Amino acid sequence: MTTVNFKNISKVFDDGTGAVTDFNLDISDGELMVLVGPSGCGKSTLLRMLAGLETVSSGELLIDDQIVNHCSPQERNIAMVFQNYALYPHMTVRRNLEFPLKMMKLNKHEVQRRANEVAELLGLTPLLEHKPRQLSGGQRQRVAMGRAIVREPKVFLMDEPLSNLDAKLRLQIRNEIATLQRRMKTTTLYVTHDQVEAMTLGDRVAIINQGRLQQVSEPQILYERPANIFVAEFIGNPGMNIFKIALRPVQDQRLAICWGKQQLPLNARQTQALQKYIGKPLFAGLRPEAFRHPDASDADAKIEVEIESIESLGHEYLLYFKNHITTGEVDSLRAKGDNAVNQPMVARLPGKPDARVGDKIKLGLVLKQLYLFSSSEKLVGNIL
Amino acid sequence: MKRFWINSAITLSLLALALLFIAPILLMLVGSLKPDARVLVEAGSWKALLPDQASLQNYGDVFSRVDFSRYMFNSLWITGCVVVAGLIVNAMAGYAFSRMQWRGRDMVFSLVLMILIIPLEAIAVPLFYQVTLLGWRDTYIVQIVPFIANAFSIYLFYTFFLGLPRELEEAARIDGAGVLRTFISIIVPNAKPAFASVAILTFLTQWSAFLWPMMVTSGEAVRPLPLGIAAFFTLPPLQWGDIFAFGVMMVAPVLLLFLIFQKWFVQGVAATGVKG
Ligand SMILES: Nc1ncnc2c1ncn2[C@@H]1O[C@H](COP(=O)(O)OP(=O)(O)OP(=O)(O)O)[C@@H](O)[C@H]1O
Ligand SMILES: [Mg+2]
Repeated sequence: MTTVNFKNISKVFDDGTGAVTDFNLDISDGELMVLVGPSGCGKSTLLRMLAGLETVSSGELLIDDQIVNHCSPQERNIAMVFQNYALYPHMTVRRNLEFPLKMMKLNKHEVQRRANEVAELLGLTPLLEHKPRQLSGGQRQRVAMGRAIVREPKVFLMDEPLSNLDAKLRLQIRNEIATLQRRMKTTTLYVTHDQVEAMTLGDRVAIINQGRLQQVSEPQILYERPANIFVAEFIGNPGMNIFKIALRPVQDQRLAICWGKQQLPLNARQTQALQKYIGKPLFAGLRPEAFRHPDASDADAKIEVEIESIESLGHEYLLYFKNHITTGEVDSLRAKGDNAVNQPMVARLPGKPDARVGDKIKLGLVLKQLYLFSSSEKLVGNIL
Repeated sequence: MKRFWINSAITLSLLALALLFIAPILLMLVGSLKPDARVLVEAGSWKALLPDQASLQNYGDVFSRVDFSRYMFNSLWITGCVVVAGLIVNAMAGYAFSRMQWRGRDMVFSLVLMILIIPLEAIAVPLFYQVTLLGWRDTYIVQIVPFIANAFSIYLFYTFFLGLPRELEEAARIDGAGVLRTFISIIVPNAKPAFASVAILTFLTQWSAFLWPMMVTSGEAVRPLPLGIAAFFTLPPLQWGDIFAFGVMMVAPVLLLFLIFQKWFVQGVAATGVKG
């Protein structure tokens, strides 16, 4: 049984860099928690604080309900897989695997037994007498994993363990890690900047931006109910299209959502729900998956777009088109919003493209999948 | 064909240059094998490099005229102690400066760097008073202790350790090793080139130490080789052959050591950016 709790954790480096701010996260026993976020958001710092390699500036760090803020790394009984593996270059694979066991002062027989066992489990037995520099990237990665699990620690920490591998190997080892973790049921904190890795691997995923936790939940929920614009744009491949909208009255006291030349009229219930946002800045989000061919049966609105580029992926294609928002329409609230104005929007459509760059075409929309975000970037809901 | 001549010309001129540098050593070696009378007479001619009628007479003379083995033992003992103790102390100091966090570290380190530029000659006299007060004159200790901690060695280790990947130590700490265990099991085995460089540089400095032993010792009992060879210049009659023989025997261990550690030494120089 191992739980990990971050309670109001902050980290300010000696040079004044604030890497983590008021971070709260509870990881339950046996869970595989993935920390994901863009480069420099503080993921590694969080992991290193938990490992005891970095001091905690404020807040409490708990492992099994014990405050470990001031424990040295070796007192915490955790294991870590580093991005560059950090294998001991002067030791053979066998010695690398044995090192943590020797530090536990196990007897010689037990040390050998456990090292052999782990080597067997990870398919390292034929490599036991090799030095790390004689191994391929994937093999080194496995040795690093082996060195972490051989101790049967309370918590595994992994900092981008796959980022030095090629795409195919990454997929394979990702699956191995998932299987291994499920079998060993060791509480795991896994850091990555790759949202696909995060979504496929994590029991739960914590999304971090600029040192702050944005949202933590199961991968599916992150996709379906992103807590804010950052999460919405971050999750998904490509992420959600975000654009500024305005609410305008049209006939019968109904409202319409307007952006650029597009106008989506709302029904009475929807008008009711959005009444209080009239005159306030609002952002809308549409997943690339919310677009349809114009004649699709579930498309309940149509928009006209001008194609900027097309990426064909074989069984489907991505259609990039101009985001027809005139900046004057909604006052620019924040730089980010303006950025969103200039970014092209993207639709994911099945089959193969039948239009060309520069064409003006109609696209269908599933309005159910329109998300609305308030000016503070919080999710208002996909009320439609 | 033209290429061949050019290459030969280059090779020949390089050989000549090499000969120029090797000549003194060769002269010493050849001279040490010649009867004393001929050493000076032939010194100016090509015959100086011609060891006909070679004999080991001079080597025998060295042993009979001074207690050579005593000098040799003293030098080996003193240098050995300084090298071994120096490696331990300076490596640990370098590690503490490069990797450990402690209050006042940067200030202490800048003091160490300042010591770098103070030559022994400048502090020899006050140091002499100090060891006299301690009653250390005419001992081994007085020739060992002041030279164990060495600013340059510390600096060399410091730069080398800075270059080692930090993750190695972090991995070791997480794997359950304490600071000392990490240092011994992880750092030291990965710092062989630095150890070799420091060992050789320390050895060379100590092996030729002259001024300090001269000041603090009297008599053969604890004196090292450089004072022994100096004794020959003041011990009549002046025998050049004997001096050469002494010289050869004094240089031999250095060469041997260098040949053994050459590979590491070159790596160390490359890794730490230190020029010999
Ligand atoms: N030792 C340090 N001293 C000062 N600032 C640091 C230090 N380590 C990290 N930082 C800063 O803290 C912030 C978070 O760094 P961190 O390494 O945790 O990011 P990350 O999320 O792991 O990024 P990446 O995905 O690139 O690894 C960055 O702005 C970084 O510049
Ligand atoms: Mg990182």
